[in-house]
Amino acid sequence: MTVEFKTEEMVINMGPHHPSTHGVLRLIVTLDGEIIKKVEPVIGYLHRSIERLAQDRNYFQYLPVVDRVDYISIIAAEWPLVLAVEKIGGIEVPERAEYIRVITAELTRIMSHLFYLGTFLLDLGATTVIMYALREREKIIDLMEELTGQRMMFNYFRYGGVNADVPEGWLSKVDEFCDYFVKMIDEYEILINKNPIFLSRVENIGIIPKEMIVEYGACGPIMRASGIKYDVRRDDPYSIYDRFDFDIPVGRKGDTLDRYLVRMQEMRESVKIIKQAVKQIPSGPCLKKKLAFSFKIPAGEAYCQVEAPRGNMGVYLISNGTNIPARVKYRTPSYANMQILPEVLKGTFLSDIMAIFGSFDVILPEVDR
Amino acid sequence: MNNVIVEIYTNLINSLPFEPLKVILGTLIPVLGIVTLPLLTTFLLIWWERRLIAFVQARLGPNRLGPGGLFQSFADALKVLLKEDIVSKDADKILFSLAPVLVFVPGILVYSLMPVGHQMVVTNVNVAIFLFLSVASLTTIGILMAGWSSNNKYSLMGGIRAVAQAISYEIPLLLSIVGVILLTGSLSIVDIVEKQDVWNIFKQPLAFFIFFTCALSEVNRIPFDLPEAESELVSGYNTEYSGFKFALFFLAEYVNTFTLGALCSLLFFGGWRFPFDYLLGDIGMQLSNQLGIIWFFIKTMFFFSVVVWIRGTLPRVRTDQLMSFAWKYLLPLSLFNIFITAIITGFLSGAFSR
Amino acid sequence: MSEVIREISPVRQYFKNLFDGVKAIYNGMRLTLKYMFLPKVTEVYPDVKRNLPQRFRGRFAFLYNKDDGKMLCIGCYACVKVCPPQTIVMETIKGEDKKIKTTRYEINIGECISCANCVEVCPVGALEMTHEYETATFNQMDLVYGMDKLAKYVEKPNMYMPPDGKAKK
Ligand code: SF4
Ligand code: SF4
Repeated sequence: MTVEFKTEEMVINMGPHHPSTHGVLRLIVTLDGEIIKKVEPVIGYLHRSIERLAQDRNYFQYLPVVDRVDYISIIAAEWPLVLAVEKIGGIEVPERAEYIRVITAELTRIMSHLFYLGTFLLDLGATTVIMYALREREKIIDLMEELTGQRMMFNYFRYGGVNADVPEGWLSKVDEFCDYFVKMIDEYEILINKNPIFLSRVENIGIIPKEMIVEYGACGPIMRASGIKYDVRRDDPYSIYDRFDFDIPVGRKGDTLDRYLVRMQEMRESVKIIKQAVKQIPSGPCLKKKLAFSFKIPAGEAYCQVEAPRGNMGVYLISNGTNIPARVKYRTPSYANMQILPEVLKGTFLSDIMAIFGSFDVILPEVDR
Repeated sequence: MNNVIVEIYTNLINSLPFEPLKVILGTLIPVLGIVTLPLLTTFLLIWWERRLIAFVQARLGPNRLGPGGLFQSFADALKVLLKEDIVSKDADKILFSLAPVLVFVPGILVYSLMPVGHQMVVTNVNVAIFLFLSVASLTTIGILMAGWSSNNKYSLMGGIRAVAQAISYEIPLLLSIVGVILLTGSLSIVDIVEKQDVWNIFKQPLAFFIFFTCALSEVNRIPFDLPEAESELVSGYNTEYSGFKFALFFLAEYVNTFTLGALCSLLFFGGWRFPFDYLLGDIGMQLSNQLGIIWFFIKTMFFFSVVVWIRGTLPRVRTDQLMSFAWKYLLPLSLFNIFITAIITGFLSGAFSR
Repeated sequence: MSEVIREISPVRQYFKNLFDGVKAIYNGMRLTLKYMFLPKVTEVYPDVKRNLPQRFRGRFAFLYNKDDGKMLCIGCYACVKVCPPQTIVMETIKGEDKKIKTTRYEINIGECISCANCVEVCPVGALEMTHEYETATFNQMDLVYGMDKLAKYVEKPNMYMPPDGKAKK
């Protein structure tokens, strides 16, 4: 005699107030037992119309606003806009400013990856790593506060340079931090890397093949974890990145473990870049010319992208010759990466949502803008 | 050699004038004891856990209220009790209200079987250890009930996970104790402790590790806190609970964890006995018998701290891995342990020489 | 990347997994144990306040000259034009001596994002970001700071120095 079980699929609304959806993402998950049949992300809960805000603010006024595009790695959001304006306006940037920009950008990359590390492990249930990661992040924040005056929304870049020169002794503090931080990465790796529970949660989970990456236009560490060696800093060099010697870590399988390892390696590379920059930094002015607050740039279009901690962050800027941009479009990495999520989650377990979604390092404000 | 405290207590009861009064007080005082003692320790435990986990994470933890923040748990308890008691509209009201009680009562009940010192046990049953474990495992029914009756999908999954987990971990848990029982030849916890001149941990290290792992899973602590898994299931089976009912769940969790520590110290670390007291002769015996409750408490707190420490270190496992870990590693290892123990005890008792 | 993959029998793999796992957990536990006894990084906030860096951007202040008590502002409206949340409310009148006088200068601290754009553009250095950051109130209306609450008496104006190599000699 055969017994027929009649099972029902269960639909769970995960979020927008779920503890581990990193903000306000809503996932409509169709479950068969604990196995995921279908996932449908619903975004837009955090929309602040940052792109529209550009259209009635002058360039100078708009700068503090873009800090809010990605509040984890602020510099990465400021930089492409500044680059685009400089490109259209033909504004030059002094050497020293370029170096300071690189140092701050790499510091914020470490900041962002540390935050990723903490929340990722927190999603997996390990409560301690986030505290250690935030402890180091706090050190960077203190450095940035000393440089820019605020802990999160720096408002530091200016068209044609940076807002202020580095304070005395700041560079050596950065250097010191780098030495200290490398030791700390080792410590995290003792705690995490070989842990059997961690490995069983991440190894061979959420594999993204190369083809899928290309089809969906994913970028950043997710792309590199799947084995595509592409980095804007190297392949489309902006600023002075061609002067530094650094590796681009790539993964082999493209699973959750690889995404974690790639990011850990990237932090080490960032430290390398910072150390080189601190050594090479020339003296001189940090701002070409103080622009009037209502400066105008010629009409034109430009697309500039930088390698943000999560991938290519780009700005498409249309200027109509006034002091107010006609259109600003942010191309944000999290948005592109999010699109793979439903595809990858299919057929995994409910607990894997957290592991995979956590490993994507999606920042919701950046998705919705 | 009698325990002084117990002697005073017995004399006090016996000196009462009426027979009924003796019976009533003789039952009431131990009952009050086993109800209030766990509750009071829980306050201490919550504070201790929060402090310790904070220390592991390079933080300070609660340090404002009272000496070192000791009264923080009282403030929190007050806060929880003052909260509105919400029962969601579509919940099964009877089961919903019954579940926290059903989770809490077994946790308290096992204290009646737990010897906390020499002669200091409420009921000395000769199958205490089995009774202990079977009563403790009743908690699972309460959790499933909570999960089902909440009419919340997260809760339901939490409840189902709890049951699945309990089923797979109960078996290695029991099997690991079999080794200890083989050595002692008795199912009574008092006997087990009394026969531990050399602590069982030295004879049964493997059994201890299996026992500890399974017990962790039984009390739903990290890395096996799947029924609660706050990053996956919001708060698991107790998502819908608030106020006093939530407090009961919360208390039950700590009471159970304390029980875990107590069982570890009773079965493997000589319970209330002073370390190597048999070598110290009479003094050792006195230390064990009169001050037993102190040693017992220290040992139990140590194991509780280990649980917290583990919570500070490890991530959470996944459902299917949890199962495969139980069946692939813990079960074979515990069977292996029984096998070896049986052979050795057989040799020592001369069963094979005939 | 060349990697030698050795065949291991399943039985050995089983014990290897077990051993590796226990070892890794042991290492991790040792690390957390170490931190249990190391000094903590928490700052006990209301008791101990951290040192703010010199550039810290806290609450905003409207400067007056210390000697004669006159306001430094010349009423040019530059700060109003660059404020991203557009929170500065300002009114001016033309006095009898043909000088522009600011009669109302109000910002809502709850809206101000402390970006210091206004400080940067002010041609006479009449604004400053103070080091004050405890601005929470019980009443929402208390967040609107008028001229009296914003006032700060200083000796010299707080001029912004662009780091373009010319300003500092
Ligand atoms: S600091 Fe920024 S937000 Fe605040 S008043 Fe000045 S310009 Fe406006
Ligand atoms: S920019 Fe300075 S001078 Fe001009 S209105 Fe504002 S405060 Fe007054």
